[in-house]
Order: sequence, then C-alpha cells, then structure tokens
Amino acid sequence: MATIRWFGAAAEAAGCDVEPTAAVTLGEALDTAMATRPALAAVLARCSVLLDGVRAADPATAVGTGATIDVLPPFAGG
Amino acid sequence: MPKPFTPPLVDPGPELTADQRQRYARHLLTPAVGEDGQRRLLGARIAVLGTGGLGSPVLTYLAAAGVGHLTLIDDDVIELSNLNRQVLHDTSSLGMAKVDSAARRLSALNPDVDLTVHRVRLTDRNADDLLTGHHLVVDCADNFPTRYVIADACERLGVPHVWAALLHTQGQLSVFTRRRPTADDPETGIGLRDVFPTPPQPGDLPPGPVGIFGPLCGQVGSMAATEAIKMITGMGRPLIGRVAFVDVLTPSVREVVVRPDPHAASGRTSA
Repeated sequence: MATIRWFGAAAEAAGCDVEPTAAVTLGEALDTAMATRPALAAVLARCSVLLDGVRAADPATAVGTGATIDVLPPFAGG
Repeated sequence: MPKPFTPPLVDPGPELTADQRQRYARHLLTPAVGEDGQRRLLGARIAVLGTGGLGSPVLTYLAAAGVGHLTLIDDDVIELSNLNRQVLHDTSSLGMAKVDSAARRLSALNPDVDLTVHRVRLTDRNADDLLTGHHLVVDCADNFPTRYVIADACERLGVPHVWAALLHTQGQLSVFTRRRPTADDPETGIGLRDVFPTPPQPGDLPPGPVGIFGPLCGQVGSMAATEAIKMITGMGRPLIGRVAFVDVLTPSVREVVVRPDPHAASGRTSA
C-alpha cells in the first residue's frame, strides 16, 4: 500500500487529508481517487503531484509499497 | 554552540554598541541568537518583495530584529481593502505608496535599519539589478508571475530565498536555495520550480482577487521572518527541501518533503 496526502482544495475535493491506495502506478492512484469524487479532476489539473518528494507528471510512474503521493495546489496570495 | 545545519549567510558585524545591547537584550538572552547571531543580523542585507499582507509581519520582525539593511520593492498603493491584513499601513495612509508607508513605520520602529525603497514592479528586466548584493530575498508577492521572476532571478544570482504564499485560511512556506551548479559545488538545491514547475495559466484559477484571512498573514509571515533569521544567523534547521503547509482552521502545519525535479530546469528563464 501507498499513501496519498491531499492539501488545500485537493483535500476539500477528496473529503479527507490522507488515504491509502493499493495502486501500482501514479495514474491508477489518481484515476481511482477521481472515480468516486469527480470534483477532484478540476483541482488535480492545477496541482503539483510529488511522489516521495519528486514531482511526477507521468501517469505510468510506478508507485512502490510505502510510497507517499503529495497533491499540492499552487498559492500566490500575499 | 551546536554546529549549524546550514552555515550562516552573514559574518558577524562590528561589536555591539551600548544602545544595541539594550535594544536587542532579549535576543542576546536567547541562546539560539546570542551576540554572534545579533551581530550577523546587523550585517545582513535582505530584499523583501511585497509590502502587503505577508510583507507587513516579515518587515516588522526583520526591522525589529536589527537586520542591517532592508530593501523594499512594491509598486502598489494602499487601498481600503488592504487594511484587514496589511498591518504596516493604516487608514491615514490610503492612496500612499506602500513602500513609503512601510519605510515610515519601519524607520520609527528601528532607526538602526538602513532602508532602500523601490516603487517598481519586479520583472525579468530589472530583477537582477534590484536583487544583486543581498544575502537573502523574501518573497511576499501577491501574484504568480512575480513569484517566478523572483525564483528565477534568485537562482541566477545564487541568492537563497524564503517563499511564502497564502490562500483563504491556508499558507505554504519554504526556503529555496536552488542555484546553478559549479565545478566546486555540483549541488543545486531545491527551487520553486521543483515544486511548481510553471505558473498556472490564465483560466486555470478563478479570476479576480483571492480571499486572505488577516491573522494568517501574521502567522505565516512570522514563520517567514523566522526562516530568514535562521538563514542569516545559522540558527536551527531552515525549511530547506521541505514545504510547510499551514492551515489555521485545524490548526496544523503539515510538511511536504521536496527533492530536485530532474525536469524542472527546462522552464527556467535566462534573462
């Protein structure tokens, strides 16, 4: 199992801050999440996705056991 | 004194005067700062981009702490809608340039601090000139384009920068040290583009101004000022390679570890 951590608007759309995933690729993890929560799609489009700290954009990226996927929306306000 | 996690950016300045020993007495009694840290602060040159919601607490605490030179950069004037959070300014300053209002307050707070004000918008054309010669930059801007100008310029110049950004009741904060590698130092550090490679495109986000909860500015701005002081003095463990995500409603601070993005360099400007 891996862990998805949602932040900001992504957490709001996901309905939680953290959830486990059994997915083996990044695309599968995010598609599975969006399948039950369609509001995530619009938010995800503008979020940065980090896999164990490294930005990952390729859905085929392998997600290992114990990995952490962080989904972070961009902020600019000051 | 424990070995610092990162070397201090500034060497200690001259011996403290009697007045300075009084003014900074509570920092001198704080082991993490002490006389060595205070003398480093007095020798520091920091540029702060934005003198609004985040800039207000950042500048207030840096000036009060005795940072030797502060450069203020902002082209805005004070509007009534700023005053729920931009606590450097007040109702009597409406219509005034923010940099002038801020300089007036900061001079009154600590006349020791040397101030330079630039009432300009930072762009790729002027960024290198305006930011050169500083030990550190603090990004308190209120828009994506300026934030990427700052990040790219700091990387070109090899100047670390503290980045703080807000939305509604949440904030993000990090210390970016990304720079071009050299033969002596191949490490490049982490930069804004390692987290967010490009700014959102127009249309990706709702148009118009965003809501910002006033006290959030104080909270995240104080954290940004703390990170700046840590970088100058070498105290503590700066927020390098990590993004702190602050939520005042829970309240919580969650940490996101960030490592270099091998694809990030392609988005960088070369002005």
